[in-house]
Amino acid sequence: MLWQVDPRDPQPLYEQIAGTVRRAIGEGTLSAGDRLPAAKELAASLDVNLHTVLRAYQMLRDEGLIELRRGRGAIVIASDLQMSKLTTLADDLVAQAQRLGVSRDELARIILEGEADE
Amino acid sequence: MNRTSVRQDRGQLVASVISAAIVVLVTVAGVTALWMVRDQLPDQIATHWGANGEADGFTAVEQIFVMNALLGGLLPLGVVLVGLAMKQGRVMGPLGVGLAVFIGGLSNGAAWMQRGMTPDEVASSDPGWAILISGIAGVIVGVGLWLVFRRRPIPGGVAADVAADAPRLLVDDPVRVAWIGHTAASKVVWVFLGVGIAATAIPAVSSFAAGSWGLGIFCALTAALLTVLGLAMSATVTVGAPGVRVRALGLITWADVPLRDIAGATVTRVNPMRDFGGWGRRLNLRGEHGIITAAGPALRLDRGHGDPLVITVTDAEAAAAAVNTLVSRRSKDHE
Repeated sequence: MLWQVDPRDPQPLYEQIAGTVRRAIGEGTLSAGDRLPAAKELAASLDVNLHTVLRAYQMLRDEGLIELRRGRGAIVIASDLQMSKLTTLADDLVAQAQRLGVSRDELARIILEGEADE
Repeated sequence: MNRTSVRQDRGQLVASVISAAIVVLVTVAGVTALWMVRDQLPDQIATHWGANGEADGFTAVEQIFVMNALLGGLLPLGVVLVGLAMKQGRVMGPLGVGLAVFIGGLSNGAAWMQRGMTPDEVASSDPGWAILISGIAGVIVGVGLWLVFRRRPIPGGVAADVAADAPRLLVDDPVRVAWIGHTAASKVVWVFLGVGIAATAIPAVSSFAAGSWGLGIFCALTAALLTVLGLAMSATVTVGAPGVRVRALGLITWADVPLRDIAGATVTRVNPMRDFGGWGRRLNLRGEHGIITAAGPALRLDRGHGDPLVITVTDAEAAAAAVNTLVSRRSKDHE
């Protein structure tokens, strides 16, 4: 599996890494039971700080997408794939908006206004 | 094919010559040690044992010295010479020496054990310990010599040489990339290994049952080694800023190539038997090293002065693209 992080992107590195995992789960590249690389290994490969990767993994664990087990590492757990797809879409939308200079709050407002129109 | 990749390496020639000399030395030393106790050896020395542990093949004491010299010298020398021809003296030399130690220790040791024995004692002799000790000594000497002959890394690394049509990732330089995957899985490997493990585990059990501890431990250790090797076939392949690493079970490192020693990567297809003569850590007649775990696509690393390394992985294209992207950047940094 390919990993990429862009230091120029306004999204923090840990967010990009987490986003990569979410996307992979959504696309089926990663499925329940698959093991993510050891944080140390991924950090060395991408040449990023270990804590960046750990933060990404912790975030994914808090979202219920992976579990962190001592000795076994990070494992993708049977998760709500639909939810992960939605989160990925949301990430992309936020990224697009930022490129247009639109903040999250403004984006949220746009979405909420859309709801009001229905 | 790529004969240019089997580079000029005088070190392998030196390794072959030294190994050949050591094989001769070990063989002579073993037979000489036996010669020193020739007066105590029985007229008929047991040299072959049947499945039930009883000796069923004998050699006259007049012939044992020549026989052991030939046994201990011919095959190991043959291995060293093949290594010389394949320009792989650094690996085949130590292999030959390890074999010479094993065979020499075994043949001379089993005979040496029989000094002062009556014909009845000879018939019930047990070479088990000779086998075990010689086996362990052979491995230690072989591995030690391999470490001595290993190439020292070239300071500064090799020049990047990525083909124009080789796979590459379409990303800007600041984007950091990595590819992490696994060696391709194959059930065929387990069939072969299963046979090998059964072939060593069963004799281990029957040896222990017959009270032959030396042989039993040797067979059990071999069975355990084969099992570990089988498990180690599923390895993690990591392509990143440090380079390319293939590691199994968190501790067996099949390969660890720093980025500066990689000139470029391509994708190739591998047929294990046809291209590498089998599975596992291989070396073929073209001088290519391989970590061959299944038939199919493979990542081929061009190591400039070093021999190419072929690794069977599931997504070779992406892996090669990641390697080439990282290698191309490395050379830009040097300018």
